[in-house]
Amino acid sequence: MSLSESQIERYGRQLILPEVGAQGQQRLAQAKVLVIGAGGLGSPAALYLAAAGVGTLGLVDREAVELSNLHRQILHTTRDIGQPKTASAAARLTSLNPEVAVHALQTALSAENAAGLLAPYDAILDGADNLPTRYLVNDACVLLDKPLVHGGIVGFDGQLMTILPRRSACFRCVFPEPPSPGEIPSCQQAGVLGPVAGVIGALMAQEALKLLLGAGEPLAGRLLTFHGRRSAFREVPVRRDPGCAVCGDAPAIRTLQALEPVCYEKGSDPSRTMVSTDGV
Amino acid sequence: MTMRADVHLDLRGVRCPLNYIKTRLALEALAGGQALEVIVDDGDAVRGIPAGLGDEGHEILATEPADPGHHRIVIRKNAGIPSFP
Repeated sequence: MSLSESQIERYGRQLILPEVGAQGQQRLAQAKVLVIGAGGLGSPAALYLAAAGVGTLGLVDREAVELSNLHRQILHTTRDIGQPKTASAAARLTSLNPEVAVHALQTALSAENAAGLLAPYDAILDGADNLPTRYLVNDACVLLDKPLVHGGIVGFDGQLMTILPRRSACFRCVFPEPPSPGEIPSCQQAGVLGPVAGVIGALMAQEALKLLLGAGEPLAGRLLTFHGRRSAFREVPVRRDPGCAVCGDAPAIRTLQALEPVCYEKGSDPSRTMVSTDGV
Repeated sequence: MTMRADVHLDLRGVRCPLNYIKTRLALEALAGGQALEVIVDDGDAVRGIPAGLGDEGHEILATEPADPGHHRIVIRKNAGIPSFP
């Protein structure tokens, strides 16, 4: 495939990067990325991936656009309220870049459908709004050997980590068990400043592009935390746990299983535990 | 001075930064050590293209006036950068 005149113009500013070039652009065009959650994190992530010319974008979300989403979920507009988020997102992404095939998967990810949904994709971005889904996505990516970019936000803060299954720490290596109810605030109850979703979601897209291009050094084995009140980042080294229930040497989890949906109560200090971190 | 180039690219009338992008893409398709000749409009490109490519380790063999209103730039691709088919 050679690049058309309009592709050269559209992608020109990234084409001139030595790590991209015509070959890298073609690699992006052939790539398939699945974004879990078309919300706060999925919005900027999907927008940048579409803009960059990632050929196929899958979006998993079962919810409809609500007015209260719009301060951070920049894929959607006031006019989209009531529409499925995947439909609203697909329209926006296609108008941004008609070269991108968007697969709107309006469904809830479950233990039953996760493997089938993830299988066609080269990389997975987790911007889910609940912890059961996060563990499910993590486990599915490990079992299917798919690179996963985890992102989470709450309040003024966020976190980010790339997971290369069995090569770097997975979500369970860092957070072996879901926190007990009450330990962390839920997506419904915890506030979040809109731009935090942009910071972390944009970094998720950056990680995905690096993975697809084979460029730079993935954020694997390192948990990056963002502290918005001070505008500071911190990097926490994390190691794959040989005793991990899913990616360890003798894993207990060999098939996907659903976690009980848990409604977390507000009350604790969200900055203490960064596990929660809703993608919405 | 006249340098022989392996590939020639006429970028007359192509504006910045598209002329630079096209030069970069043409270089990408060359093997290390091969030379590319581009003809660009007089103006920013005459300094900008050699400066940008020189920063990446390519060798500028010539920058000289061509026909009126245009310059000719000859670049030898950095042998350290692999070519892509």
